[in-house]
Amino acid sequence: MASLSEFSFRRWSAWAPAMDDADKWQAWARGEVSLPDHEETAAVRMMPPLLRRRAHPLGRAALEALYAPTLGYADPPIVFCSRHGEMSRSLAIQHALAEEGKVSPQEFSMAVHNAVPGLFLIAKQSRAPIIALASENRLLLSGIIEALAQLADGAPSVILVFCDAPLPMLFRHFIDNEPVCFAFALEMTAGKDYRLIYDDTALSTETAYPLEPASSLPLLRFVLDETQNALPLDGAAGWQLLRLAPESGHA
Amino acid sequence: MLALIDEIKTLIIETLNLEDVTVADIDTDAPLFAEGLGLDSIDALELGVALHKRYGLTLSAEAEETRQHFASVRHLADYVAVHRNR
Repeated sequence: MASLSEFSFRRWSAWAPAMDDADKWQAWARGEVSLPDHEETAAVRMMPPLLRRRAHPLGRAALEALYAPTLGYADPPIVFCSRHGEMSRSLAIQHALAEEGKVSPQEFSMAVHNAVPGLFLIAKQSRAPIIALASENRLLLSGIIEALAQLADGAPSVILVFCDAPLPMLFRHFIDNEPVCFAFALEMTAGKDYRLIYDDTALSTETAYPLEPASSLPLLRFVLDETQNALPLDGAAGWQLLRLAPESGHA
Repeated sequence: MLALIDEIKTLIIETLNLEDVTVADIDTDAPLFAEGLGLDSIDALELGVALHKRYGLTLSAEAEETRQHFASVRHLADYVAVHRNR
């Protein structure tokens, strides 16, 4: 029986402003370029306009990643992960409520964390399961554990989506901020490329890794740039993602 | 009445974020929902809010007449013309 903590990523896709091909993402993963500080909204041309109109910029980024031909979405479950979701939408609704006493039904209908993958599945006429996760510091860990659980439950593959965007100005005093709007998707399958481990000896070991991996982007970097062998998933404890050597098999 | 019809079409396009749809694209007599323009129940609620803000109308979501007023742009314009209070 396959290990419950080992897996592979078969395909990936990503969207951020001006990052329109895989080579640019590879260069970013190697640390050669930063994500451009540039205003752009994903076009999502593959989605019917009547559905697309409901998505805001963050949702459009996630939809672009889900529609990407390189991901080849074919009905697996989706684990949708975002620290904050579409905060600008929530804030606008609260302003409208305070000022006019009435909120927009279409804005309200989209103001749930699973709305964007739901919109995608409506467009695809798919009944695939969706779970939507929000977490401040353990988003990567939570998403990976959920996807592993779905594999263990019999799904042949699972799409993990991570996305976030700069917060509205009102919130920026209180919390660190994603500099640009981004989304990426990874198709997780059974395999032996990565292993999720818990190693609390790492607690006492000073490493070069950032201790607050609040952004999910380090996972994409880890997958694309194979020079790192371990990715800490939890600054406060010992969860790590290990890259397994091709010939290592079971340890 | 023609001006009101175009005004309502513009209101529909702006309120519902209908990308790439122009006033000329909306058939005055075609159904707004399902097979016509393709709007859904959330759009109906959104239009209700917009009609209240713009014309002071209060439409009941339950009433059978509401369904008739929303049948097409022409039906909506007829109703707005008679009942508007702003």
